[in-house]
Amino acid sequence: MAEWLALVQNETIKVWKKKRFAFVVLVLLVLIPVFVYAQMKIAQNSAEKFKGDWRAELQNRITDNTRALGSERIPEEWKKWRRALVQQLQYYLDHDMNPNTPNAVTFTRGYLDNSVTLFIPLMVLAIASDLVSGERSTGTIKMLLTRPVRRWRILLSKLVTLTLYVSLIIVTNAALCYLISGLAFGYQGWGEPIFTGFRVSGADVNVATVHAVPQYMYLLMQAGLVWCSAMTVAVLALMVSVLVRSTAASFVTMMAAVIAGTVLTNMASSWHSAKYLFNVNLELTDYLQGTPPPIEGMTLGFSLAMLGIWAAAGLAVSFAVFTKQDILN
Amino acid sequence: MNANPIEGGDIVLSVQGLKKNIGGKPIIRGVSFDVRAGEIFGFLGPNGSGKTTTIRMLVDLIKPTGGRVLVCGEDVSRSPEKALRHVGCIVENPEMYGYLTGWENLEHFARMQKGITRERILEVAEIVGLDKRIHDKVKTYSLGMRQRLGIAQALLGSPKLLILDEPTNGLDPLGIKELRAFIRRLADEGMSLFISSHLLSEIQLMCDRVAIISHGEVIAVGKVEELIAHADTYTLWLLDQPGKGRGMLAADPNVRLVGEHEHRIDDAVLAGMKEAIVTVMDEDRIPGMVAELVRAGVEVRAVQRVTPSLEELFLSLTEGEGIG
Amino acid sequence: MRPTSWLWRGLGAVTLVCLIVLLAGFGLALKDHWAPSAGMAIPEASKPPAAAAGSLASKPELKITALGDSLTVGTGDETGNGYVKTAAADLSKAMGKPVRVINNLAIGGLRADQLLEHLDDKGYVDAIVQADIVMLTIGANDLFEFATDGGSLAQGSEISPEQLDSRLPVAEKRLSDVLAALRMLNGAARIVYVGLYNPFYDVESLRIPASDTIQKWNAYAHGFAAADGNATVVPTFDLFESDIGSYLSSDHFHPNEAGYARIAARIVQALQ
Repeated sequence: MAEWLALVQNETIKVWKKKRFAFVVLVLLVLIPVFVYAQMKIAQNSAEKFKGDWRAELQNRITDNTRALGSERIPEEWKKWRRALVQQLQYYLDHDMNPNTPNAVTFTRGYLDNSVTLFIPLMVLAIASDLVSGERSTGTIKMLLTRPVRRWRILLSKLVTLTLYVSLIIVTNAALCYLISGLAFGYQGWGEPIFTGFRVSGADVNVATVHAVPQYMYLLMQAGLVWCSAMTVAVLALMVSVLVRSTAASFVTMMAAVIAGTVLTNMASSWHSAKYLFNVNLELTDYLQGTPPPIEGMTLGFSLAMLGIWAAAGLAVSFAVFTKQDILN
Repeated sequence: MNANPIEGGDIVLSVQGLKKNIGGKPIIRGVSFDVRAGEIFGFLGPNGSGKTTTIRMLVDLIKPTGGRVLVCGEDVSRSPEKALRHVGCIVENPEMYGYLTGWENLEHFARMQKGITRERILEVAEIVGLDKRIHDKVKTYSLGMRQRLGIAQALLGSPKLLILDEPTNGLDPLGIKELRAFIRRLADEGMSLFISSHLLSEIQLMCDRVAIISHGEVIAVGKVEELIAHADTYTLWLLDQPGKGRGMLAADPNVRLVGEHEHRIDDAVLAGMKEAIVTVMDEDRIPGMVAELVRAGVEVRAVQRVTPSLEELFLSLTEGEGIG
Repeated sequence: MRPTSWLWRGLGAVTLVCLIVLLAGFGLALKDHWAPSAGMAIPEASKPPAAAAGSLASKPELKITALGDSLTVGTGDETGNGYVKTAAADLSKAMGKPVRVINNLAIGGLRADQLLEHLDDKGYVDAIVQADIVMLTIGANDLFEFATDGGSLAQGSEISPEQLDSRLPVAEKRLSDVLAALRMLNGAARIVYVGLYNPFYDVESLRIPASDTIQKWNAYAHGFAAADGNATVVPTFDLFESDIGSYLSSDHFHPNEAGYARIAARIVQALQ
């Protein structure tokens, strides 16, 4: 155990000293203020329009989406999505609850929802893509694998390190987002109620299981789900990193897969078997929020199972290849 | 090189019928040799002969298609965690983590093996003479310093066998000289060294025994001097009257004259000796020949013995003479 | 002490805590999804302020809620203002006080019976309760649907004036239900009903029969408003008669920017 921890220690220090995490923090410090500023502008505009009457604002959103339902130019899939959204918003309005109280916690919640498909995977890849291919392109793998340690232990230590850093990245994301947006929106809002448990089937929203939870709990659950999809991306990136010699190629491969996922999701495709791809299943937080899934028939259980299968396959390939692979150059 | 106490010593590394196919093509067709405790073992072969592939199989970077490698009796492929404990190695260039300091690099590799103390890290840093720069980032190191750090890393676990792949690559003549002395010192302390090279002269200067590999097969294993004896050693004569001298040398039945295009002596050796007459003859016949020439009024400017090149050795070895 | 060892202890501990927190969150999310607990109590809602009674002239600020169909949405107006925003701006100028549109809840294609259902929605109730002025257009889609017997013009359905006339009473009943419901919600608001015009005025065969029906409809609305006392029907029937082409948008059905401006001007006149 102590020996094995020493391996994790090695990997953790290498990632840190390579300044990968520092890079992630730097990116966040630049981008989060930009997001906060944009959100502030939107908030100012609507405050001007609705004079702080959130009910009017919410009703306006409902009306806007209802109006769009009448348009013939909008594809049927999108209409379904809007219909479900309208029902959900109506539920909030009927229960006289503001789904978007303006504060840092709400902003962080929205940020996590939006970053789960692209932004967080990007940061995870900054670390994961380099983990094995980095050792190969610099040749240090020859030192690493000629030490008296079995190869699977080395890969396992890298996997554990990756898990730790993925966790750190997500918590850092949420923490920095809260701290920075608090400057603009105020740091309160932990106890605000928020609805969860909407079940979407087609264009209908089942509200039988809907219940309110305090926002801090919602944020915690959300972060947990974000962690789950980030880990899937991380594990698959580790696999690609084992298979591909160059860090750049490994990063680009995974990034392409992740972007393809968001494209497919946005196309709300009528291609039903796309739901078996891992990259379409990354938006786990949508199930918490109750927005309709990109493809009909997808549920939290389904998405978790898909991510689980992809991750397990990724791990199997990683370990099989890494332990048998010849290091030829 | 003194009479060796290694004869019959413990076998540290035993390579038995090693084979490797890559992409269906046999790259290594059967390599066998033993390295004994305390000896410096040379592994000689031209580039592309399968040297590097063999070395990688010795340290579990490449899995053999057939045969096995035993280090202190442990199979490298089956239980690398036991076998590699006794091995320190540098495969090709000594690549270390550039973004870590030398010290952090040593700590890193020390953590991968049980029982390496902080004192041991200090000790190896001192042994290779890196103690002053050990806390600098490796990316600021020169090639020579990296080489030393690589060796320090290899020595960390006090290995019984040290494998160095073309260790003189990129070193200046002084560095090469220091390295040779260092290697000898390690061997004197009882460590076995396995050194690969494509230069016969280097092996000749450093090693006790040598295995010669060509096209994926070991064509000879033995003591360096014995092997070299199998190829012609040239005697070069630099005389003030080359024409007359040549006639006299040709007259002696024990001397064989070698034509200008028949020998394979390196041009660098012949530089400044354009007029030299190349012969093959026994060493003990030289004084007599000199006396004869002087008596006949031919001044002898220089007599030089030149060991054959690796290429030549190959030729003589593969011409069917065979080695025991 | 070696610095990397401190680094490791710190990093190891922090990342481990992060991992445990996230795992807990993940577990909680699963539990909440499949075995939700009762959930927290939701705080009691505060009632939106009701509109004060009194004449429009006596109030310091006027609040408008707009309801209805595509005409109130502003379909056909490329500036997106429609008559609601234009009327609010003009009214503010004319009366010298702030006039605010609380919300425009109109939806294209809405029929009177659908609007009546929406009047139960909380968002509609909130908006109507606060309003000093409620502007609406409704009924055109009901009549049109009756006229084509449920078909659409694009699919080649013919407009049948006889059909239209025979079912007028059904539509009139819907209109009176909507207006009565509005009055129930807000006793004080001035209700401004924008009357219908004949979009088929330049279609020879439809000019007379369609106009007849629309006149009857407008008269019915007028009668209702007169009974209410605090409601106004703004006539638009005559607005587009003279030069219908320059006031209708390219769909030959909805007004364009100039057309909406004329409607807005009439509303302002009616409210002063």
